[in-house]
Amino acid sequence: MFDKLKNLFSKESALYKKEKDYSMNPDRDWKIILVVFFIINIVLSSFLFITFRDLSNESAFDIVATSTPSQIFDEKALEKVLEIYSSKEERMNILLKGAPTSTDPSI
Amino acid sequence: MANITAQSSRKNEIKTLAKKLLDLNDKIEKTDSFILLPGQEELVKFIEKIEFMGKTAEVLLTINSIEAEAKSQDAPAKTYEDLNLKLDVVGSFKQVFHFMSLIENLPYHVSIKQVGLNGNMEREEKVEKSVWSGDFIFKVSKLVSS
Repeated sequence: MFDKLKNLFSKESALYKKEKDYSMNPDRDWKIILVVFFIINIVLSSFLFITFRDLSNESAFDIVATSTPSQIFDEKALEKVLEIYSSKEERMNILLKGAPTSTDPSI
Repeated sequence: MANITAQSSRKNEIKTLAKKLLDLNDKIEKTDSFILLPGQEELVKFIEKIEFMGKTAEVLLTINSIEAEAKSQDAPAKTYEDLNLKLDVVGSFKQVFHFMSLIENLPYHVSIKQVGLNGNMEREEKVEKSVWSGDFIFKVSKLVSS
């Protein structure tokens, strides 16, 4: 048990080994640079190809239709007004059929 | 291909807008019916409506005056004007109250400015009964002919 713990904190521990991998390695670094360069090249050329294709089709100039129409007037307010006057009309029709209940205050 | 898609989406948008405009037009027309239209005929119809209300409520109705509200010269030109109406009614309390309720619920842009109620006891063939008189001042909006 003690030996295991000793190994854990010793120079040969897993952490130390991992750190050791970041040491200077020119061959590996050149390979990485080359691969990254090729990836960037592929991405860039494919983007340029798509842009060129869009431009040749003239679709790049199409304006994307936005689904937010400009508010000319308040439709909800209009509906509210209609609701108020409709209820007035209803009450008027009821009142034309009969008088509302009231008590003469002088009696 | 992209052009066709864009065109078709625009066509759909135009269709939806046209449908919406038609729907709104109906609502706007309905709203316009709540304001008196310009012209003497419309005013006569409105007065006849008030007289009909008087008959329904069984009151003795007198229309004292109808006049357009004076506009100040600095006021911006409006598409509507306010008409001031002065009415007098005589009847029992129930009848006057009925008439008042009818005025209140007129399906027009009406605002009641003044209401006065006065009750008197009158003797008729040895029977006392209360007679009420009411004077109303209210204004109604009327579209101005362009």
